[in-house]
Amino acid sequence: MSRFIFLTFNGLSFGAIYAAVALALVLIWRTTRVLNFAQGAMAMATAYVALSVTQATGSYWLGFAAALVAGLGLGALIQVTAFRKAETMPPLNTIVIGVGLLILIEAVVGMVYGIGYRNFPASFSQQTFSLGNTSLFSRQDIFTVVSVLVLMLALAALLTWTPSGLRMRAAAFAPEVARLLGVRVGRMLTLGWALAGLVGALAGMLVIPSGLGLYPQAMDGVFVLGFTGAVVGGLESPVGAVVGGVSTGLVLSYASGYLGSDLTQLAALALLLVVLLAKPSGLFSGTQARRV
Amino acid sequence: MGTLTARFRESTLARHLFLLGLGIIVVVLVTNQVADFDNYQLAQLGAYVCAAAGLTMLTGGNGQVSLGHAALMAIGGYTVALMQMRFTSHGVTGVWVLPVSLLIGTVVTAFAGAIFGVAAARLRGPYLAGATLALGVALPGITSHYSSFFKGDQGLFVPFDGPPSGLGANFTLQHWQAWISLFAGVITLFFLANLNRSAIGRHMRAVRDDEIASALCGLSVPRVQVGAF
Repeated sequence: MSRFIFLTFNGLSFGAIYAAVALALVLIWRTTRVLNFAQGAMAMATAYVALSVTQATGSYWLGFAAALVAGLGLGALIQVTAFRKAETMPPLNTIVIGVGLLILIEAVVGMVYGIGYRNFPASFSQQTFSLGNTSLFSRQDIFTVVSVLVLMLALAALLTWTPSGLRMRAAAFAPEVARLLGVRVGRMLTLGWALAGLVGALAGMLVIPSGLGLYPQAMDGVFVLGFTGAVVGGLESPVGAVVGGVSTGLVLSYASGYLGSDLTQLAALALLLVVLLAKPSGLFSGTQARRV
Repeated sequence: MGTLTARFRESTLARHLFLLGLGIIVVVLVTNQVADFDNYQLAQLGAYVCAAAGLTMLTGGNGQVSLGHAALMAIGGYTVALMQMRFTSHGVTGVWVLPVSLLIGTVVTAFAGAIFGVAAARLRGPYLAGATLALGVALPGITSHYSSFFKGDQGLFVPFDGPPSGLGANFTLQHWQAWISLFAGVITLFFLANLNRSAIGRHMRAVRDDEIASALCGLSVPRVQVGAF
C-alpha cells in the first residue's frame, strides 16, 4: 500500500511534466495544425540557456526566468522561420521539418556546449517527506505540480478572458474571417508558438534535474511520452492533453514499480494502443466531420 | 529489331530486369575499386537503401506516416542473428546459409509489419505517427527485459562465414559484406519498383490520395493499408 502511494505521487509529478509537454503540442496543433517534433529539443536548448545564465550571474532563479523567456523567443523564432508556410504544406512536410529541426537543435547545442552530461540542479530539495515509513513526495514534486497547474490556469485565463486570447482562438478557428475582422492572424500564430515554447521550457527545467543530467538528448524520452499523452487525450483538446499526460505519468510509474523498469515504455505503448483502439482520435475528441 | 525494342519498352519486367543487371555490374565494379573502409560504409548504405525503400512505399506510396520503422529493422536484424546462431550451433555451414537466414528474417519482419498494420489500421495522420513512434521506442525494451535470450544491451554476435574461397584470396570481408548488402538493396529496389507499377501499387496510391473514393470503387481500404505495412 505504501508503495502504491509513493508510486502514485511519483506518477503525478512526472504526469504534470508530460501534461505540460502534451499541452504545448496541443496548443501548436490547434493553432497551426503542425506536430511540433522539435518541442523537446527546444526545451532542452532553453535549459542550456538557463545553465549559462546561472553560471554567469550566480543566481538560479534568474537562470530559470531566462529559460522561460528564451522559450518564448525560440518558439516565436521557429514559427516565423521554419513553419511560416505550414498551413499550405502537406502534413508529411511539417513532420519532416520538425524532425529536421530536432536534429539541428541537438547538433548545434552539442557543438556549442559539448555533448557531455552536465550537472543540473533542481529548483527545490528532492528529499522526500515521509509519513511513518512511506515516502511521499519532495518539495521538488510539489513545485512541479503547482507550477504546471499555475501555468495551465494562466493560459486558460489568457485564452478565455482576454482580448488577445479571443483573437488567438479566432485566428485558429476561422483564419479568413478573423483576417476580415482585423485580427493579425500571423501574429497570433507566432504568439501561440511562443506560449508553447514557454510551456515546453518550464517542462524542461522541471524534468531535467530528475534525469541523468543535462545533455543534448535529455528531452527525447520526455518528448515521446508527452506525445503519447497528447495522443491519448486527443490532439484537439487541452483538457485531454492534461488528462492524457497525467495518465501516462501514472501508468509509467506503476509499470516501473510493479513490472520493472525495462517495461515502462511498453506500458506506455499498451496504454496508447488500448485508448486508440477504443477511440481512434483520443479520449476527448468529438466526431470529426469528413470532407468528401 | 523495331518490334523487339518496342516490346522491351512496354514490358515493365524487362526494363526493370535490365536496370537490375546494370545495378549489379555497377556494384561489382565500384566495390572492386574502393578501399576496405569504404566498402564497409557501402555495406551500411545498402542496408539503409532497403529500409528507406520500404518506408518510401509505406509513407509516400500509401500515405501512412510511420515513425517506428527502426523497430521493424530491429526485428529483422535480431531474427537473422538468432537464425545464424542456431545454424552455427548445429554445425550447418555453407554459402547458402546466409541467404536462407536473410529470407527468413524478411518473412518474419513482413509478418510483424502486418501485425503493426492491423493495429494501426484505424488510425490516421498524427495519431498513427504517435502510435508508431511509441512502438519504435518501446520495442527495444523487450530485448532488455528478456536479456538472457536477446543478450540485452550488448547485442548478439552474428557468426557468419567469410567469402567463399572461389572468389580468390584477395577478396576481403568488407568487400563481401558490401556485396551482400548492396545486392540485397538492388534486389529490394527491383521488387518494389515492379510492385509500384503493378495493380498493387496503383491500389496503394489510390488509397493515399482519396480513401473515400477508393472505398467507393471497391477497394478494401484496411486490407490495402495492412498490405503496405
